[in-house]
Amino acid sequence: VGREHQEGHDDCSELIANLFLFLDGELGESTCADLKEHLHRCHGCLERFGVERAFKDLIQRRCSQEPVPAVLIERIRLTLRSQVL
Amino acid sequence: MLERGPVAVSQPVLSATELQRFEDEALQYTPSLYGAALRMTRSPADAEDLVQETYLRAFRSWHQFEQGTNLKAWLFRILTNLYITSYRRKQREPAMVSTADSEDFDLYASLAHQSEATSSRSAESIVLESLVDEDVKQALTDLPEQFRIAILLADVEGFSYREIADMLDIPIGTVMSRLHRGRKALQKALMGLAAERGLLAGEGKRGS
Repeated sequence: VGREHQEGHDDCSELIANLFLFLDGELGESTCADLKEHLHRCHGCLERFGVERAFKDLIQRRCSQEPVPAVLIERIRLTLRSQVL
Repeated sequence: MLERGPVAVSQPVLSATELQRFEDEALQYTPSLYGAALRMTRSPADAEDLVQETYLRAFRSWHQFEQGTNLKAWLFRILTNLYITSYRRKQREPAMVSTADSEDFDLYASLAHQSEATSSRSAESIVLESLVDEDVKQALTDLPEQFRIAILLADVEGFSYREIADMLDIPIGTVMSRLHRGRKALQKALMGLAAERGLLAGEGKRGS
């Protein structure tokens, strides 16, 4: 993890452990600020973060939602209607 | 099932007004639910059945839905449970990508290697972007189920760890570990595909 540090930060691996939490919006505010501050200073970590974010973003864009067959919508509506008096 | 109060025992009679409200609020999520169902079942016919059944169950429990809470998460919870309890049994897990050796996969390092070869920093994100949608979807679909569902719910649909833990009835730590391992496996599979497609610098045929 830590081979790219330029200024001998010793906190990279600790902060990088939080990178996925940050990416997933699960990091508490203060830790979040610490991580952002670190990304500001550390090019290696920033690049790693960029790669992971690009990956997550790729999966989201390419795999979300599908055109729903019109016949399925019709089936759903019919099924629901059958439940109503 | 759990013990329930007398209210749930009798089938609630739903009015046309409630149907209208349900349709107005819930049907907008069909593209997301259908996309997830396709990834889960790997079959358009099963995916349609799964989504239809999800809406039926959701409508029958509509009175239990707490207005103001996350309707999409509620529908996904029903979908996921239904898939796990009924549809999964019908399916044989196909020959899967092996994930045992993807634990140590490092996308950053692989891409850094690429960008050295192409001397272009921007190559990092572009390599995987060059894959067509079908390849990306297929790679996700080929993941072992636990990983596939975790990635679907977190990365594709954007649910929180807590929401996913509740949907799957597993601890948050398990959600995180499935996500972590699933992402590594998916990254490795996609880099493999990129190599097969000749998208990587210095390997195979190069895209000119």
